[in-house]
Amino acid sequence: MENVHAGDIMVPLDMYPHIPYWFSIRQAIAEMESAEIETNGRKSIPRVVLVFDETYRLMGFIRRRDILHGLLPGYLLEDSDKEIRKTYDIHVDPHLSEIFDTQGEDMRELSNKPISSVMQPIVHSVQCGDTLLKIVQEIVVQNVYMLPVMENGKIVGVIRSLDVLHAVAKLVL
Amino acid sequence: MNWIHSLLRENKDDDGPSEDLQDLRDRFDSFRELVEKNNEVLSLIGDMEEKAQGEYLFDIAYIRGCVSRLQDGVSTIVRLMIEQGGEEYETLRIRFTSITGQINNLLPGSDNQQGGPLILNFERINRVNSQSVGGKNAQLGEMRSMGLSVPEGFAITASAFRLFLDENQLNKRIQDTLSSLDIRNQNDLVAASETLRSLILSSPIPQVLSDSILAAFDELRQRTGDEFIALRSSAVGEDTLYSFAGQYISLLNVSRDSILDNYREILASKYSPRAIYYFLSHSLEEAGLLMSVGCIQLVNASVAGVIYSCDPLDSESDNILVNAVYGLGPYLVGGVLTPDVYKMHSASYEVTERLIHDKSVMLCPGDNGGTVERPVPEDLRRQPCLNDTQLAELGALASQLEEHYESPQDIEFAYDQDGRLFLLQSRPLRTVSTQTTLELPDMSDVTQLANGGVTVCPGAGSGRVIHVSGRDSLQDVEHGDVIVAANPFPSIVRVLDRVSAVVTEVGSCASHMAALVRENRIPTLAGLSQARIKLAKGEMVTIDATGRCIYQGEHPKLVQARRPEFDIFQDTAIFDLLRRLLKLISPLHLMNPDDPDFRPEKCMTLHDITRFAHQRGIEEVFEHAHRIGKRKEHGGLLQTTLPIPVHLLNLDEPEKPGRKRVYTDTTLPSEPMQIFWNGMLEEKWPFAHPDPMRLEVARDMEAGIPVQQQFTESSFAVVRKEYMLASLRLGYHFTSVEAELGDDPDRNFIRVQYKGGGAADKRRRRRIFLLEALLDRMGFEHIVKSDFIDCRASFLPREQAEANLRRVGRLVILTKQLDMALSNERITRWYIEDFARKLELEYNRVLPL
Repeated sequence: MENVHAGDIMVPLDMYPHIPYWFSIRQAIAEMESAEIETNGRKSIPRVVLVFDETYRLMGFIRRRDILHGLLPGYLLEDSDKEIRKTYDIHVDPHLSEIFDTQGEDMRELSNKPISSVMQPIVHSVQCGDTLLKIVQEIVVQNVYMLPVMENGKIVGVIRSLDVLHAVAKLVL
Repeated sequence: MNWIHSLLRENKDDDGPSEDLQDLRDRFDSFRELVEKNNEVLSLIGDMEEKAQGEYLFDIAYIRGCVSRLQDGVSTIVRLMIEQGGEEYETLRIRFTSITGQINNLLPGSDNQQGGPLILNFERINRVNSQSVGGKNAQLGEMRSMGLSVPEGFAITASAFRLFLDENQLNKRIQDTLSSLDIRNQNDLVAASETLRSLILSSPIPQVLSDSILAAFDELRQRTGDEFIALRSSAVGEDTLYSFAGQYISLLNVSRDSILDNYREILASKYSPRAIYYFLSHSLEEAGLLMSVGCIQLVNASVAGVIYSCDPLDSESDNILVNAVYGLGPYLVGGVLTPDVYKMHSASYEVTERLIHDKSVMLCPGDNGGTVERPVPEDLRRQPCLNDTQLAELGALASQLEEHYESPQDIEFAYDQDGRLFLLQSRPLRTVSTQTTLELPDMSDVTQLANGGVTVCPGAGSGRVIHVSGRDSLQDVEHGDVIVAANPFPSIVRVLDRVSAVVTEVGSCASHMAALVRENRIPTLAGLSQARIKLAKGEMVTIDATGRCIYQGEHPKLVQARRPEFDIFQDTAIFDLLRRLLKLISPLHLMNPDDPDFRPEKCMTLHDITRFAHQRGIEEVFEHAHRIGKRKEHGGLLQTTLPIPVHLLNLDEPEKPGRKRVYTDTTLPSEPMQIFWNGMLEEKWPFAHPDPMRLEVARDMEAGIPVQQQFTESSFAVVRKEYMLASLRLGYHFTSVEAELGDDPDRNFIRVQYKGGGAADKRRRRRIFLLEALLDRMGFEHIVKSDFIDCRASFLPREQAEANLRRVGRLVILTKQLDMALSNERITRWYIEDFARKLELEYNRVLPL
């Protein structure tokens, strides 16, 4: 059997949702809500939106959890750097959540924040010619579920753990 | 332009004349002239298109006037381009000459001015020749070219008539007689008619013409073996709006000896009192009404008649009508006999009704010329003169001709003694007879839902109310609906094939949609305020666009009674002429400036030429504005809170050389520019800088997306108090906005071009789709070609122009690099709605005027 390479199983960049860094969390939500990626006739919903700068360089990505994080009001957040405890702790008193923001107004306001405040940097990537084994190793060792695929110094696509699993399935099933 | 002049002077004092600056001054002068000519030409084209839709009266003088102004305008534009760009644009002149040549060939009188042929055989004629051989001859030639059976013959052309007038120096005498005439005085009219007729009848036919006529006759006689022919008038401009039907004569059974006299008699018939009245009261040019005469093989008819390819009183029904008598046709068309009437189904040709009348006499060719009346044999008098086989043959012909001419036809035919069918004439059928205009039903007891507004297209229509506002909402429109919209928008045309009426809250006769609804004959009322409140969704209503009133419920009688108003101006030769001219004038083939076909050679119409010149003109201005902008000591600079450096050239103010003039966000020297800029400021520039700490690793991961061509290095604007032309580069897209804003709505316009982007092609196209949808809701007309949109809104009241200009400014910021985010159709639609809310362009929202 021929070797499977990153370029064979990646989602090409133009099929993947992306967004410039100054866009709002609200726009990232819209992007994620509307996106649907079809690979080999199967549809899936992307778990991240890629973030680019104005010169179309990949800066990072934003996950569902980052979006949600951005929508959480400040008084429910802990700042670990400054070792400040949350003002209110819902773990301590679950009823607290019922008295705050039942209409979602805070969230609506927070959703206008730029995504640059919650996005994640991209640290690891694979090359277009990398083999399946290398990709699997990268995912496992770095504990990520998505890797940009590079070719000649430029990003050309994205490999998700899902794509890797599909490829592995062909080998073992 | 003063600033350039002073700039030049300054420069002269210092370093002597600068060729560069001299060149610049010329270019700016040229460009302003070019823009003005371009606007003039566009508005002329718009006006001609409007006229071609059939709402307004016009005549040949109007067409000539327009064509001549168009040619002047476009020729100036071509000259300016060649002055600026040199040989590169020489092809433009070649195209211009070729197109105007074709245009002039279509105009009446052109044949004559160029000394066209005096005689044309039918085999050399088709309907395009109607300006030289008249409508009747042209149609005979056309039917012949379709392979149908028509008599042999030839036309004595309008050029021949012109020659006759010239040789006898009749023009001036006719002109003198007519110019002193009071057409309201019947006696004067009759006297003038007599004078002119005797002038014609006493003038000799020029030798060259009489020789040609007799030679053509001899040639025809040789082919057919017939000693006698028919002479029929075929006036140029006949069957036009100013129809002289029945005013001119036909002479049957004419011999070689009498052909010249009879020809002259037909020419003289042109000057009947009624015909004179018509062309003077309609300010028709004498020259536009030339007479051609058809010399036609006489069909010795056993039966002659007329076919109506549809029932003129009930054009909705599927009936073909045939009227016929024994003998020659004049007894039928002249109303001497009551003909047999046959009604048949237009698909099956099955005869559904026969009214057989007593046909006591018939008209026959006389043995020595002329015609004689003969009795019909007793046993035939009450018999049907046509049998079912013949009727089926006639029905099929009617369908064929109706299809060919794309309108109902009024066809004359004859069967000769051997039972062979000949077609003698086909012309557009007027589907409304003045005697049968229906009375309006009494509507006084019916609830009126609304009234007022402006009639954009007359008539009445009824159906279910549906509210629409933009392209997306049109998919719910069903057959027979009445659409109600806040404002006219171009996409409405997509449903005009199925709606029964249109109502808009704003808009006027001059909108682009107005032309479209008239073309489609959809009763339309515009400017009916609060229409969407007064007319509830789903309600059944009747729109009386003529009476500017809206009634509850369906009222078929009212709709029927208003129907005649649709057909007033249809299918007349003068409209036909205008439409054929427009084909060489208005369609646009050059759209996307980046298209390899965007070249002078590809200009097919005058519009193409102006489009090409305007585009290149703008580019030349920017190129040179750029050059001047780079000089530290010249021009102006917009110091703005937006991170867009804009070089600003104010054409109104004299330049003070030596340092740049500085403008700020609130002190722009141009009203349209200020409003546009306010829109951009309103959306703010996104200043969310990424946190460098968190993202340090990501720096060199460039996307493998081909970066699009960059249009200019920075942004420029050339402005005056009421004018702006700005070219902005934001990210990877290029926007150019040109606008005129003042108190005269006719002069106001906004033109936006938008192209490019850094994302993949699909995403760039999606952004253009989004712009199209939003600009559509703002009432812009637009052309889209791949990732390029060019749109224009004109005839704008000041308030509307201001509101839209501000929206355009906001859109420019809102869509900056938006293409990157448009990964699918769904998100594109989400953005359309999101922006529509922001810009107050949602469905069911009354646009502030």
